[in-house]
Amino acid sequence: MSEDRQARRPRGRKPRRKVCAFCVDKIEYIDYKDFRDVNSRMRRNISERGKILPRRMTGNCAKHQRQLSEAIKRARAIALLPYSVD
Amino acid sequence: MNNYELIYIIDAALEEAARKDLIEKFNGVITANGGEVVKVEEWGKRRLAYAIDYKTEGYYVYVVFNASAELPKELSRNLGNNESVIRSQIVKLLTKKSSVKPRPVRVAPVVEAAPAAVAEEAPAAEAPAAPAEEAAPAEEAPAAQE
Repeated sequence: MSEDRQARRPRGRKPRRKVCAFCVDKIEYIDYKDFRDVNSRMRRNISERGKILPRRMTGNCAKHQRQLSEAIKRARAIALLPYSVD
Repeated sequence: MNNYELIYIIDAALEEAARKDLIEKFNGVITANGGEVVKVEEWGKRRLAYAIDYKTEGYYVYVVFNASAELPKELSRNLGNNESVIRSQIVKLLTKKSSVKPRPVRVAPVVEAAPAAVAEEAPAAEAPAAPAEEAAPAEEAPAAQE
């Protein structure tokens, strides 16, 4: 029975390996100034409430996630991004 | 010497003349203390992401400068003392690394939205393309002679 379980995936669809968007674009340094533009695609890494999205949702690599969180925090300090939205 | 970048937000209510003086003053602080102003960019009036001292708008100024390690401290003290400056931030600029502007494909729809921008960018886009075409036949020609 345990074999049977392993054979088919327990819950629905196959997990697709996400690729880090910053690696794809070969970005060396994530600039906090890029949050200037409201429609910038950098905003994809932030939830509607202004929170930093976790790696498991965005698929960013560890290196870029670290840079990203630093950039977001800098942008928040200078009021380019909100600390919280409600 | 280090490279730094500074962003400060001036009260949007301040008149233009006073604002210009203020920007001059802070550039003066940098040069007076042995620094060198590389670039001053005025981003203009922007909505703040959150209210600071009940203000919802601010005038953003972005400055890049070279200076010794002591200057940022003195500069941020000056910025902090000035009541017209709502917020300021000095960050060390990493010269080695550069942020690569992402995906030209995604920029395209934005360009279409602004026809004026297309007119400006179109000649620039054609210019690099033309020499490349000329270069290609030139390379082929010697090969054909051989």
